[in-house]
Amino acid sequence: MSTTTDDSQGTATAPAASAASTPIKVDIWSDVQCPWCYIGKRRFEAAAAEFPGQVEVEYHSFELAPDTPVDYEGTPIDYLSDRKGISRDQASAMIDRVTGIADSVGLDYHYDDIHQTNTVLAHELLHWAKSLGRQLELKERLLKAYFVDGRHVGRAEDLADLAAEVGLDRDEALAVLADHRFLPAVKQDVAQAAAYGINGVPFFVVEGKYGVSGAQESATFLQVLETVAAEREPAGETA
Amino acid sequence: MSPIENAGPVDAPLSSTAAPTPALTLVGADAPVCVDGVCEIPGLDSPPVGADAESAREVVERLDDGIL
Repeated sequence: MSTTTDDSQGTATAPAASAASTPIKVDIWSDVQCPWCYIGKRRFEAAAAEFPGQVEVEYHSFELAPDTPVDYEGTPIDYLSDRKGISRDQASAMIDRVTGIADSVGLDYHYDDIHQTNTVLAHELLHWAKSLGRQLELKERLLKAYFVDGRHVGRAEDLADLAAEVGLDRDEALAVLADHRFLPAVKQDVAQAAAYGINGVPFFVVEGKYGVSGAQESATFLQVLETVAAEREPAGETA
Repeated sequence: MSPIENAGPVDAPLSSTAAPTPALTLVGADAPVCVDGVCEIPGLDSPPVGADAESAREVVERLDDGIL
């Protein structure tokens, strides 16, 4: 007797809807310049496409390199070598490996064009998009902008352009980035990650009880979704 | 249509304090992950450089201090 309704803005569910028809909530901690986050996103999406139920996703902020200047001048290899003490050969091999795996899920990473930066403004913008029910669209745009398109995702003007490309108001984007009204939301997400003990991304919290770390295979994500659905069954339509 | 939906619109929090968090049941094997600016495949790439939950707390403190 579900009256669940789908539309482009989200999911509306009547109070009497069964547990089985209620979307499974997945909270994802992620950073815009995290290559495994984009790959993990694709693998999770593949699992969700196979899963017969509905899934509701909320992205949360996690800054992998908060000390990086907005206009960092080096390449990703420079960053790994100069700041993390990884040899240039090893850094290059790591990038080759992640680029190959990205390709396997249909993502064409262009590391030569990447602008390493500080992502705190991108996270603020994602919280603004969430307040409008448009976070998923902006998240995808920012990840593609960084890894595929070689766009800058650290400067307010560039971020506002990207927001406009997914139909959000460019001037309003600039305004929210100027007054940092969503910075407390970023800080809350970072604090929440610490409270969960999350020390790397991507990290998926399914229904507030299962934690999945890293860019797992789609089968793992599907298994968790099916487990949650099965656990709901006893409290389903019989109520 | 994608089965994945946006979470409902939410207001910005008034506080940056973490909400109470239940313990999580971890699922899955070791998988590629990014820690402290280093993105690695377990067993193939270098171990992550000294990051733990404390580093996330340090980020909050630095945000609070207006450093970031």
